Amino acid sequence: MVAQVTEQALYILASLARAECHGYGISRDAEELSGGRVRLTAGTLYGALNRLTADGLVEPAGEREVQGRRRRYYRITAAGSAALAEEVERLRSTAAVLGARVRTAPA
Amino acid sequence: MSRRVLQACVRAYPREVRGRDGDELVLLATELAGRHGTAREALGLLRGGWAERRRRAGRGRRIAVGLAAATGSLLAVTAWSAATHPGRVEQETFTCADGCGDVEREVDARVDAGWDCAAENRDGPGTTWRCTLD
Repeated sequence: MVAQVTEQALYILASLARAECHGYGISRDAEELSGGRVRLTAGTLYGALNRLTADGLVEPAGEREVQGRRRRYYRITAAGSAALAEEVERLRSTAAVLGARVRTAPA
Repeated sequence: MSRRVLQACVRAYPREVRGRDGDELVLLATELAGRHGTAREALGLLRGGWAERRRRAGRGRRIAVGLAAATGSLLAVTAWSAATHPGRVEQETFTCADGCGDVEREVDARVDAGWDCAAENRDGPGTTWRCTLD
């Protein structure tokens, strides 16, 4: 059983599934992945990363110097990958069921 | 100007968070303000800070409720113990295998002090005394 993830957390996990990343990179990636719909502010991102870390889905990956400033990096854990895969499967299943209903609905 | 506004908004977070992550939050918010605008980032920090304070207050309440429940359980057990063992406040056991003089003197001292001591295992190689002070 994995923790339930919010939409914001889903995009953070999806961003980190590609590679370890820092806060700014995660926010930018989430915005691109969602077509501009999910725009994570620093406050939202900070809270979400803390919750994901507390749930064991994400973990700190140290600090690195990037473009003249130290940045905190994060990485997805095995539990985080499992939670992401489970949530994507749930969404796929939901989309299939609802999509079938839309196709058969009278015009 | 933008940075000063964001620094002010970070004050919405508890002091402990500001001390640990305040600089990181301001830097990240300043960077993201370039994409989202300062107002959006400022609101995000205020909302995040209040949420963090609410979360901590909730955790504090849960700890208080837990402590109250634990204290209540302890009182209940004490009350039950007092009800099922009225007046009994202390119990000690003395045992010796042979050469029981010292132990017998200890038991006698308890009896002199008002304890009720009863010997057990009289047929075996040793003796056990159970002393109770009511």
